[in-house]
Amino acid sequence: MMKKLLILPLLLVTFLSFSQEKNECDEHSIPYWANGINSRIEGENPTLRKAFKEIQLTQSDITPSSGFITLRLNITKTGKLCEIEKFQIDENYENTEFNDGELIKELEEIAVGLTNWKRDQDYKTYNLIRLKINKGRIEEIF
Amino acid sequence: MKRFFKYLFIGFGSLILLVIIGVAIWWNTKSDSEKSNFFANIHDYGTAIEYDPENSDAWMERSVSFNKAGDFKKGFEFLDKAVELNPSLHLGYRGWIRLRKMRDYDKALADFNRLDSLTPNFVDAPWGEDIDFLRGECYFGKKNYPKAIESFDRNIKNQKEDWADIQSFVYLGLCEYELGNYAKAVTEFQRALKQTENVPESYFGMAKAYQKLGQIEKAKEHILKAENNMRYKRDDVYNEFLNEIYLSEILEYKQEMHVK
Repeated sequence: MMKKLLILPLLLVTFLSFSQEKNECDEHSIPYWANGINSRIEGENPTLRKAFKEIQLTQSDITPSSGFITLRLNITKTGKLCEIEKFQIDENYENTEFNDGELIKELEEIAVGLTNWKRDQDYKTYNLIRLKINKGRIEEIF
Repeated sequence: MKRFFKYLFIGFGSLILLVIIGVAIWWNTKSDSEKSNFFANIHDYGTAIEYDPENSDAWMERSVSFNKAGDFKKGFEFLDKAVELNPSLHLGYRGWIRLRKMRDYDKALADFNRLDSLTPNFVDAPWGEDIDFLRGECYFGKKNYPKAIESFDRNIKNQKEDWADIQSFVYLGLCEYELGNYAKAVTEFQRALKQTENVPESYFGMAKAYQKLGQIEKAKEHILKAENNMRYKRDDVYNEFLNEIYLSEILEYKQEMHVK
């Protein structure tokens, strides 16, 4: 009777561990500057600038005309892109939506297409893509 | 035996009780400001601010992780408060964040200039960098090259030629290049190389300047030097510098110049 009682919880734990699908996106994200992670995309920032080049050239009347956009890309330890967090602020650092939220959608679409994220240590981390908007244009990408 | 454990229990219990009472008395002798500093030292900035809302360091420290993670709206709510409480202590850091993390050159310059006006006859060093070097970077970012040259020259004068950041000379070379003064640009890049031979930014800049001057062989020679010295490039895991160069750019340039 005692043996049966011990086996039951063991079976339950084994069953649960197999039934729960491990999702690497659920892991805790460690900042890019911590633990020597040094995460970056292959080719570094010139790669980012090339990826966003077309939208940079075509968008010339962004409203509000000045501000800052940050895309925070959460990347797993195997280089898989999980969610993208987005921050949009105007020149006074107040929340805004450039082109009524349309610009960020286009930027997100481009960011999703970026691959080849590299890192020195195998941790889930995040990378930032920063865009500076000035005079209605994307002035800088870094 | 039972008695022994009984006395042992009473002894240890009394000791623990005494320690707790002692800590409670010690804690109550501390002012709110000291308590605030204690929590700031253990990185609990929220509690530090609760104890002393005037603790500007706690406000500043609370902003750091937000700004590093790209949430500038939140980060600046805290950082602005720190500046409001103690401008001369935090303006430099705020300007530095605006320059390096946001490239908000105008606001960064405004912070550096205000800091300078608050500390007359003193050369400030926001986040450990000479204020005129940082102002030079702001003007360089704004493409105002004459003003950038003025600032970098002042920085070199402050620091003295042998002690100035070698990137000051690199920036001077880049500014002269942008102004079309290619021979002067070469001279400025060479000033950096007098400090150390391992400045790939200088070699890359010289290659481009020599190309403009029609000295193609020298341009080829310097692009190879730039490539060979890339391990010494100016690099920072947190931020991309305005004059940062990349191997991919050098390889592209080599291809353009038909250099093997």
